Formats: sequence, structure tokens, C-alpha cells
Amino acid sequence: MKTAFLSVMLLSLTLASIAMVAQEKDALPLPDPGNVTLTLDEYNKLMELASKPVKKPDTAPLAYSLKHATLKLKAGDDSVMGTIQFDGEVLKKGTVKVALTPGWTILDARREGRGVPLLQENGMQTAVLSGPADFSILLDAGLPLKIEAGRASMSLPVPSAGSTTLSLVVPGEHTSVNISPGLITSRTSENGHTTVEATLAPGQPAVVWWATRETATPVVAREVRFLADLKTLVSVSEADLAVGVLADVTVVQGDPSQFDVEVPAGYEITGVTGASLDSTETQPGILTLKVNNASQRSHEFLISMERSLSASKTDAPFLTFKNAQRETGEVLVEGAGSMEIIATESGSLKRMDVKEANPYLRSLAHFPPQAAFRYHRQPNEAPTLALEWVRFPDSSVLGAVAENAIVTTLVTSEGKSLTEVKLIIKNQAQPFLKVALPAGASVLSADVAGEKVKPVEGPDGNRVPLLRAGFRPTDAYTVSFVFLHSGAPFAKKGGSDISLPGMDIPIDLLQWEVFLPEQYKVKDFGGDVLAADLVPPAFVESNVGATNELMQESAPVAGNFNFRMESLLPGQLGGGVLDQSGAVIGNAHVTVTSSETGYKMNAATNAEGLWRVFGAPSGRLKIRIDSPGFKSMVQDVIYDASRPGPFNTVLQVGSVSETVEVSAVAVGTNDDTNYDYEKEQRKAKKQAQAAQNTPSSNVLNLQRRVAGVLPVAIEVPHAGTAFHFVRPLVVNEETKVTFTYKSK
Amino acid sequence: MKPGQAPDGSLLVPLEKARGGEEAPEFVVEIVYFTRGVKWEEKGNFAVTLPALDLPLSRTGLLVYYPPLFKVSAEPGIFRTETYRNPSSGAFTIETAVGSGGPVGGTISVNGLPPESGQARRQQKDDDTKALADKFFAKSQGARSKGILPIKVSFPAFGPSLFLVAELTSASQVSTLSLSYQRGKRGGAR
Repeated sequence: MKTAFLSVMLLSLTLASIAMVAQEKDALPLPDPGNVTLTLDEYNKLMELASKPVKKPDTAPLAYSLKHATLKLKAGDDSVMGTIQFDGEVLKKGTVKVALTPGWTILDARREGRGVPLLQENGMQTAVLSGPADFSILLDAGLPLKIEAGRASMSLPVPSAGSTTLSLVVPGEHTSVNISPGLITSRTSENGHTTVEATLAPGQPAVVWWATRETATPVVAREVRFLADLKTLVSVSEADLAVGVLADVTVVQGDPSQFDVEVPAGYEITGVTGASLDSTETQPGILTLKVNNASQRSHEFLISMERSLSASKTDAPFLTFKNAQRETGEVLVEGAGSMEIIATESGSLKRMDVKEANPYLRSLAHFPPQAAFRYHRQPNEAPTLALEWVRFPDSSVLGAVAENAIVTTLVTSEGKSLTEVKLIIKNQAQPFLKVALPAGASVLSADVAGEKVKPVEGPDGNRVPLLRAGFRPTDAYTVSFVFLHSGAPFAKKGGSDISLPGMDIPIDLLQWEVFLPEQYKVKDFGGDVLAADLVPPAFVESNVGATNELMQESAPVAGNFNFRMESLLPGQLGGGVLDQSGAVIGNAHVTVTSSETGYKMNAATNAEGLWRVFGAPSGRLKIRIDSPGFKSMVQDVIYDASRPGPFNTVLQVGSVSETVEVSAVAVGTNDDTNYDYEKEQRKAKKQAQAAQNTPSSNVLNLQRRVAGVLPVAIEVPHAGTAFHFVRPLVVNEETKVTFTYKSK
Repeated sequence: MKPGQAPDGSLLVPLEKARGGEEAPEFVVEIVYFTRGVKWEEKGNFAVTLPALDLPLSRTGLLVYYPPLFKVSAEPGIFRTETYRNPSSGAFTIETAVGSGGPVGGTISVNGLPPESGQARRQQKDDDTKALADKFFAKSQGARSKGILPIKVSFPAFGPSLFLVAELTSASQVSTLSLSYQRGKRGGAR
């Protein structure tokens, strides 16, 4: 029974195993120990990889590499000696020839303390080294120096290493060493030697030179010959005599490395400049100019010196270049400020016209030169110039001026007025603007060039700063202030006035916009001002020959102008240009041509459609007017220069290429029969008047400032009428406008 | 340029000296000054007196701007009314010229030099010289400035104008223009 039970169990397990194997028949069969079972795809992939050729290891593209070369050299009397250290790597296996450097005289070569065999191949010093391995080779090497008068030089062969540095020691302190090509990274001087550190351009020979001064012995000493031309400006000022000398030296023989200049006693050298100047040395009575290139043929120096003055006469100083073969010069005398200088010449000095003086010499002067001389220094005849002067006190001049004052006043029905005064100022030295405010008025804020400043109240009036810390104006700038004035409240009808404070700087032109509440009808303006629309555009002188344009900028005040016949002077010809709707045409081009002489004058209409030319000859003229979008108009007119009249024109819409030609009429009588020009003029005038009373952006800006910016609560009118006034040349005086009003 | 004051109170304006003759260069001297007058009434006369110069004047052009509300006419005198003409002297239209009477100091034009300046070597030398001169001028500017210099004021052209001319004014002669004026019909500000 027990055996039968075990048999049943074994059979069950066997059947269970068969069932499991049956379930996994799609998976890989279990491998035998020590074997791997792969899918066919994996097997094929492995076979494909196995069939590829074996990749060979990379070989170095070069047999060796010179990474760095360090040259340490010291210059002697006629040669330069030192070491060259090469650091590199042999990349190839076996023996390799390493090219080190050409052109050097090699005294010894060592590698890690042992000798290295060198070969000379095509002028190149070559070492034979084994690799692959790093190497470091030290060469003892030398080069000959080329010695000339005051100059030593050499051509330095530079190894073709990855980088090359040079350390060179030359005789003399602060010797100016030049390397080309190359970059000097440091210069030091001690114990009578100068050391320079530099990086060189690998593979490119570098030229190295320096002034040898006392150490160099010229191989062939050549006598130095040079010519000197000195242009001297003598400036007499209140306390000192300043001299500027523009020296032009031309070397005709030899290579001078320095020039000695004799300086008159009592003068202190204050500056020496020049493109070829290396350094200077000053000894009593002698100024030595050392140049950085002795072989240069031409040198220019600017030497300045001065001495104090206590008397009103002195002798002008003359610099002289020692050993100059020939010395010529010019002298220009100027006086600082208002002074009359009497210059008395003698010796080889000859007086000449100031205008004949060298232009560069004249360009040194700050004041009109008072005398000019030229000289050719002779061995026994030195130039001398005695100066004597009379000084005049300075005349007083204005410290500041306001080119324009733009004033905006908002008036409330309670009679309060808020006024902003904006000044365009040119200021040399005035620190404050004194403002004489009307009684009961106070300044609320002030600005200088856009930044707030604090006004000051003194016993004699208010002061607004014109300058502030750190602000150094070089041109015109803006100063503004706002003040509040409590006037009498408006009644149902009556008269009133508003005043602007007097200011202690002259104002070229004051423009004033007064904004009055809309509930009042205002008229009968009077006072010190003019209504802006009554002022015709001013004639402005022009330097453009026959072309005279009535420029918009020439109109000095804001607002619209109406052309008035009576403003035409004899010889002037002008008029207005409108379109068929009566609107003005700006920037129309007007050409007036004399039919008899062909003389042409040009003008352009301004924003008001007005134009004018000057100097028109009497007789038959042809006037042509062109404007984009309109037919060109050409008209022959008969013009009498002694009785000028306006030439008004209406352009018709069309192409510029279309031209309307009108036969001859006398100027002042031209009329388009189909068009009522006068009616349109009246209409345009009415429109201009309406525009005139519309508040400008200045009013809107001031209204905005009241709402938050200004430190005061005031109800300013937001609806009302603007009136524009002007006043030219206001000099420390009050400006007042009066008017009558009536409640609407 | 700051003017000086002579012992008699007159203004001294520094001038450039030059040798006389036909080739004497011309240059411009500009003086802007203001004077106070008497307030204009309904009608009356007004005199414009020019400064007397210690130089003879060959031609004086006088442009008088007057208040727009008045009619103005010139009284007989040394001035006569004329159609405006640009000044005849070229100095009024040339601002800077090298070697021909330009202003002193500072910048000069290398192009104003002789023709050989076109050569490269000469040009290089000119550039070097100019650089030296400019550096000297800039460096010495502070030391040479003397007190407050006058402000460059633009003349405020305003309103209608009359142009008058006088010829041959002798040295130190005072030139006076007499004007008669009358308020126009418009009157008042408006």
C-alpha cells in the first residue's frame, strides 16, 4: 500500500514536469552545463561582428613635439650669450631626429646632465633622440650683436616650439628694449642692467634692439648733423610767462640717440612730449631729449616751460638745440586777457605778419596773437625779444542769460493762480536766480536740469538755485519753478491782473500761456505783454547767398501767425499757399526766377503756409510752387520791388507732374476767379483763433503735477480757455497782464 | 573772449594784429549788449545809438526789430532804408579758415596746408604735429582761462524789422539812427 502510494506520487510529479515543459515549449531550451544558448538573431549578430577586420591602434601624426622653448640671454659688448631650454616629447618608437633651432652658435648641448649628439641639417641644429619618451634639452648658445652709434641690435632665431619665452638682460638701467615681433611682458632695472621678459612668435625671427648709450662704442663713429626748427609761443599772463615750443628736428647725418637743449635761466620745464621721445633728463640749463629710435630721420617735440612774473616787462626766452647745424624759428606773442604788448626785436629776429606764422604755431594760442617774428640763428647774432605790456582790467560780463522763458499760469475762479516758470538758461557762473515774487506768493517746487532743488527764502526775496552739486553745464539747460499766488476772487464781472516775478537774469523772450476758467468770458487784455498771434514771424539773417527761406524755427513764439501784407519790406516777395478747402499747405517749395536775368531765389512755406524771399528784383518774375499731392503752379508776375505785395496761391489737388500755368499779373492782384480767397482766409483765421485758445501740453502737464506731485492741494480748472502772450527782452522786471471778465 | 576796460571806461576788445594791405585777412568780431530805453507812448521818436569804434567803417548794416504794434519809419540821417542784403564780406560766411584769418587756438584743418600734404609721409608728419599741438592746447586751456567768459548769446530776432545802411563812418564817430513811431490802429494786446 505504501509502495503503491509512492509510485502514484512519482507519477504525479513526472506528469507535472511534463506539463510544465509543455507550457514552456516556446522559450529557449535549457543549456547543458558549460554551454550558452542564443537566439539565431543574436548568433548572426555575433558572427557579423566577428567577421569585421581588426582595428589597428592610432599612430602619432608627428615623430616628436616641441612643447616649449625658454631663452635666457645676456647681452655683452659685442655678443649675446645664454641658454635655450627645450621641453618636448618623442612620440614615435625608435630613434627620431628632433629639429631644435637654426642660426645659433651652439657651445654645448645636454640632456639630464649628459651630452646630446647634435646634427646640422640645412642650417638647423638637430638632436637625435629615442622614443617614445619626454625630453628636456639645454643648449648653451650665443649670437653676435650688431653695434651702431648708440644702438645695439640682433636678429634672434626663434625655435618652432608651441610657445617661446625670452628673458634678456641688457646693459644700462631703464634701457629701452624693442622686440619685433614679440610682446614684452615685463621690464625691470637694477644694478646697472635692464631685464625684459617677452613672449616671441614661434618660428619667426625676432629683431631686438636697444639704445646702447654710454656702453656702446660705435663701430664707425659718424658725426651727427641735424637741423632744428623751433616754433615758439610766448604767453604773457597775469602771474607768469608760459612758453610752448614746437621743435622740428631733421637728422641729415648720423644716428643721434639724444639731443641737448639749452634752457634759459629761471625757467622750469613743465612738459615734454613727442612721438619719438623715450625719456628726458634735466640738468641746470640743459634739457636732454632721448629718442627711442636713433636711426629716425625726423623728430618732433613739444616743450613747455614757464616762469613767474612780477614786473610788466621781460625778455622772451629762446630755446636752442646744442650742435644744431642750422637753427631757424618763429615766435608768436600772445597776452592772456586784455593787454597791449610792445615787442621790440633785435639780433637775427625779423618781424612778420601774424597771419604768416605757421598754422600749427597759431593753433597753440588761446588769445589773439599780438606779434610774430621769424629768425635764423647766426653764430654771432642771437635773436632777442624784449616784451613790455600794459594790462587793462576786465570788463564786467553777464554771468547767465535765459534764452527763453516758457510760463504757464492756471487761474481758479477764487482768484488763485498756479504758475510754472521754465527757463532755458546759459550760465557761466551764477549760482542763484533771484526771484521777486508778487506779495503773498510762495515757491512750491524748483528743478535744475530735471532734478529737484530746494529754493531759498532770503530777506530780499526768493532764490532758486541755478546749479547743483555735481552738475557742470556746458550748454543751455532748463531751470523751472512753480509758485502759488492768492489773488482776489472773481466776481460776476470786473477786471483782474496776473503778474510774473522779476528775475535777475535777462530773458531773451518770454512766452506766457494763461489758462482761465471756462465760466468767464475774458477780453481787453493789456499790460506789458503782446498777444502772440499779433506778432509776425521775424526776419532772420541768412548766410546762404540768394536762398532765403522763411524757416519755421525763425518764428520765435508759439501759436499761429497770420500773414500781413504790411510786413513785406521793399525787395521782399512772399505770400500764402492754401488748398481748395482753405487749409494751409506747409513745406511747399517756391522758386522765384527773374525772367530777365535768370536769378533764382528759393523758399519753402512754413507751418502757416507762408513764404518769403528777399532781394527780389523789379520786373517780370516767374513763380513756381510745388507740393506733393497738388498740381504745380507756375505764374508769371510783374513785380515792383518798391511796392511789394503778397502773392497768394491756391493749389489744386493733383499730381506734381501736372502744371497749372497762369499768365502774367501784377503781384498783389492775383485772384483765382473760381475761388474766394479772402473768404477762405477769414475762415482759416477763425480756425487758427480756435486753435490758439486750446490749452497746450504745458497746461495739461501742470494740471497733472497738481494732482500729487506738488506739495499743495489746489483745485485748478480743467476746462477753460488758453491765452498766449509774449514779451521780448525782459530784464529784472515784473511782467503783468490785465483783462476784464464777465460771468457767462 | 573777455573784453577789457580802458581807463576812460570804454570797452576794449582784443583784436588780431595783421599787416595792412589788400591781402589783410578779414575776421568777425561780435559784441552783444543791451541798453535800456524809454517806454514808447502813442507816438514819438526813438534814437538807436551804435557804439563808436576806433576804426573807420566802410559799411554799416543795421537791422532794427521793433514792437509789432507800432508803425516805425527812419528819420533822415546817416542811415538810409534799403532792401535787406547779406553782408558783402566773406568773413561773415566763413567760420574757420587756416592761414586766412581764422580764429586762434585749438583745431586746425590739415587740409588747409600746401598741396604736398597729400603725400603719405607728409600727412603722417602733419598728423603727429597736429596731435602734439592739440594736446598742448588742451593741457594749457585751464591755465590760460581768465575769469568768467561772456556767454554766447543768440540775438533774439522778434517782430517786424527795418534794414538800414550807412557808408563811410570815420573812426570814433558815433552813429545814431532816429526813428519815429506811432501805435497802429489795432492797439492793446488784443
